Amino acid sequence: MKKVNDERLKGQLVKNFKISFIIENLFVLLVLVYESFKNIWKTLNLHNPLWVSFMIGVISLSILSQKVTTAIEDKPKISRKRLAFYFVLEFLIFSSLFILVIPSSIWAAFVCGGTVALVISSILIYNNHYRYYQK
Amino acid sequence: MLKNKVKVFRIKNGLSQKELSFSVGVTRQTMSLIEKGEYNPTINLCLRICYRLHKTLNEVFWLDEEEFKHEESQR
Repeated sequence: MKKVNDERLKGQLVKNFKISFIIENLFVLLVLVYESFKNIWKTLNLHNPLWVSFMIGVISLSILSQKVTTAIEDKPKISRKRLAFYFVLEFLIFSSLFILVIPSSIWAAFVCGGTVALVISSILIYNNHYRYYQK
Repeated sequence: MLKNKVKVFRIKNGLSQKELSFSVGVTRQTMSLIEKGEYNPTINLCLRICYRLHKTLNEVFWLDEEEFKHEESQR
């Protein structure tokens, strides 16, 4: 394909990507729902490439959407103390959830809880980057 | 929607749609849609068209005031 210089066609290409992304994800979702009726734990598993690709798409979209949502919300920056408090809270909540899921290995539950808290905190820090300083 | 006089000034300058679109870096179809008012060009493209037609932005492009006021009241 030739390099597109026309701004209208560039916009059209972006629209096409959006539509194909929606179609692709709808199909993936449909297959996942169908498979989960047969065996839910086999479907919602890291060994299922369809589930992993779907999750990568969802996570990357939600991270990229932060730029848009922060602009719409237009809220002041979250303080570092509050961010640290959120991290501890998330760590405790998710670790206790993982302890319920994997009671045989408490350390693994803490590592999983910490990872989830770290990911959420990273998103919050990234989100904070686009917010304004409160006077 | 942006109103414009691209077609009038293009003809006055003795340019075809293909020549004008080539010199500003778009396709002929895009130029045709701009002239018909069916596509809103970016400010960058508007200025490139104005420079090529030796006109100012105000002379070539403007907003329909009534339409603008209507949109403003709906916000």
